[in-house]
Amino acid sequence: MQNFYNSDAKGCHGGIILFIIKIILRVIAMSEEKKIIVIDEKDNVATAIKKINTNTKITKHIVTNSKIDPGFKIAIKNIEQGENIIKYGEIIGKANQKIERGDLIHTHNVEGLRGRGDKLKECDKE
Amino acid sequence: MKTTGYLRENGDVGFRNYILVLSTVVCANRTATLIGDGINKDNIITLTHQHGCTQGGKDKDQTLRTLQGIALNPNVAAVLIVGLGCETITGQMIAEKVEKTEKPFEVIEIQKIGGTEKTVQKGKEIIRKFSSITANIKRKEVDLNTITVGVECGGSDSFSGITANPAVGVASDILINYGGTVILSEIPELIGAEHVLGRRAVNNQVKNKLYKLIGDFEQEAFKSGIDIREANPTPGNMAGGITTLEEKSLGCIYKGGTTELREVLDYAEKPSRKGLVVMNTPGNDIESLSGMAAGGAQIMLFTTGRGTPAGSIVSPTIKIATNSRIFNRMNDNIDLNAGEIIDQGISKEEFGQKIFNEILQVCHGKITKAEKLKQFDFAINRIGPTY
Repeated sequence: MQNFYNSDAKGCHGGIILFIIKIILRVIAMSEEKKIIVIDEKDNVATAIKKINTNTKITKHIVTNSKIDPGFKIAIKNIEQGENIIKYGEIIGKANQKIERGDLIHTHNVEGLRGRGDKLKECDKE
Repeated sequence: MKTTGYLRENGDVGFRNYILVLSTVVCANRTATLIGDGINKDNIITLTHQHGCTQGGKDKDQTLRTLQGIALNPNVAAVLIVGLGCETITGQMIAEKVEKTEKPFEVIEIQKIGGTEKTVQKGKEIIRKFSSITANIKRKEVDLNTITVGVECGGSDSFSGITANPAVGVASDILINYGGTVILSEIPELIGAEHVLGRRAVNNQVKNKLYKLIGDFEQEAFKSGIDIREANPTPGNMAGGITTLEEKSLGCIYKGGTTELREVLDYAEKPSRKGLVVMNTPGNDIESLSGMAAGGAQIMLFTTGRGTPAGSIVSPTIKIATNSRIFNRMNDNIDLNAGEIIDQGISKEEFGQKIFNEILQVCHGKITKAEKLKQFDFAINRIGPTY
């Protein structure tokens, strides 16, 4: 076993340097890789096209506040409670809480506005 | 530009020569299945369903219209109608419409012939006779304005509205530009996007009919006191990143392209105009596909992000993945990969052209993955109770 480690270490100095360079290149490439799609200029959300870890810098101004899975949405602007969520340049729902730029956008912080029989029922009760 | 198809007696064009064994009622399903499965030929399709009896009013009319429509679909070269004999929707009611097209057909009834075994024997004899007729029908060059495509999305994810649906929209525009017809369906999945489609309506009558249909579906959610998100988007849609029905709808309508909306159809109704039309179907994929097939669509474009094996009963179904992951995972079910739009930077216009070329190849005889798996799914949208 000792021999194995020795021989491995001797032959690997060049390899390690190459490996480190490769990692650095990969990190640079990844930071430049497109991670999100904004469909319309009016949108306040973008769609992740790959998995993005929490605390990842996506653009100059946007850092993720949580993990975003591919296909899921991320706020690209600060959104107030009650403000419309815009995707495809159209209203897709309303924020039910304050949303920070970089937050995951999904059913936990966005409500649909259409087909809300449940809301109607609450009004009827009142 | 041309493709090839089978010219029918009434001027319709089919792209397959299917022989359909059509059960009129749930009680005749087993017998119809024994007939259809009993002959080892690729072009025989058996249609079974759970309806056909103790139905009334508009619901009965809709079931009848659907069964007639499937029998009339130009891809069906000949039809054997298998009834029981005492059902609400009789074989004769379906045959009345088929007769006018001069399509070969026969009606047999289990009670009249005297039991399953004799009916199966008689049915097989008829199918063999039909086979010798259809074998002699040859493909001819046909214009692209003879093509009607139904567009569908099922198991949608957040990429549906970014990749596959916009590309299908490009293919829809190309086909309509050649004089063809595109049916967009699934009315609940237009909720929140009606204004985008409504402003393309050819006149106010079409616009108002569209708004009424969408409004009626939304009223159902009000009546039952539910948040529509209980039913649509589905749990799978939400797991795929879709948050609200409005978001799903806005992604859905891309499939219809950008041309003017010419007509709004009832479920299983045949378009009277070419170009883009909307059909009143629910968001259930199979009920929607069956309605469009009954309306005469010979080819289906079906986009999926979560993946589905679904196919249409008598219309070859081209499945298009919205992302590369599902295309690779469910490759035996999916024909094209619109994930290339993101992964390889192909434009949606270029991919839309690719979809259009695939339509022409499938018209010309290329077998889709759903056809290979004999995924001839069928379900009728019910609008009334069983009495």
